[in-house]
Amino acid sequence: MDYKGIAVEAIINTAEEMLDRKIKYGESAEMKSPLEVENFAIIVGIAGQVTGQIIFGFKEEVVNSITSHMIGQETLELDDLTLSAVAEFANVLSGHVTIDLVDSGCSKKLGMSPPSIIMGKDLKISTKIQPIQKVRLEIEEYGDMSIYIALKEKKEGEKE
Amino acid sequence: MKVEYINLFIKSAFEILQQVASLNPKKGKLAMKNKPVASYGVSVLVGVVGEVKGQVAYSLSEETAMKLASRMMMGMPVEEFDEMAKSAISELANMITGNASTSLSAGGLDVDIAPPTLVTGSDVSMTTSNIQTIVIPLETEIGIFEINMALE
Repeated sequence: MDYKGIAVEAIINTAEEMLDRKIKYGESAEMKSPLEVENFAIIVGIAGQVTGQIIFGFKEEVVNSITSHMIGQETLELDDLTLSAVAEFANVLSGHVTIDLVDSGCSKKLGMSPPSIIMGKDLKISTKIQPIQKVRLEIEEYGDMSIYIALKEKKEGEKE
Repeated sequence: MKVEYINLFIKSAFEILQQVASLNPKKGKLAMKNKPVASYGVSVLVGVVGEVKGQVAYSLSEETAMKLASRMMMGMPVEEFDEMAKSAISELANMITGNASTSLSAGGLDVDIAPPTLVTGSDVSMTTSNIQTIVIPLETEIGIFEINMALE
């Protein structure tokens, strides 16, 4: 089952709807840990028959464009309101990924952790899942965001 | 977050640190934070899903992480925080969270965990959407090992 493809598709469709902007596929690549990500990343854990993480990487300007659109007023800094809005953005996108994965029969049940926001310089993220599918998305007017799909199928009875 | 969850994680961390690294941690002063929590340099995040959900992050300095990885690998010298050392530290976080979640499941809660992700960088801070973080510093022979629990 192409669960990575399903995940990317779900993210693009949902993000287009939420932001009311066209989103184009940028380059896509298979990556290995450590991932060098943008200064602002959001990690969502997935557990079930498909397990792993969905990681979103942004530049700060793009976070502000997204949250300004969601809140309906310009946000200029990463305060509580902005962080909460962008976490919600990642939450809805990841939620649609889990729904589509379950609907397509990839997993009977899938759980999702709430999004964790990571901010810092020279961020590197490692996971034991590989390869990790990186896709750059070009959001019309706003700029780029990256998504990193680190998912694998869990064998029956396998413990994390 | 219920106090019993906090105690389960502390108990689990004590047991695993003792078992795999022969450490005898002491619990420091607990704190509650609403703002992003600063990392000591290395953080391992483990997502928790189900009837208890959130994120548990374990944070330590790179120096402590290397010493810890070395202890986990039978004293093998670790001079660089490479993917092998990272994998050891990730596994430790996985064991602590797995152990605690098994106790939660035994108590009748449906809980599952996601695989660990390890984050490094400079001036790193993290926050989990609208969930307060309980910060639990554990003082060990090789430095601070901090548990940041954001569960609901």
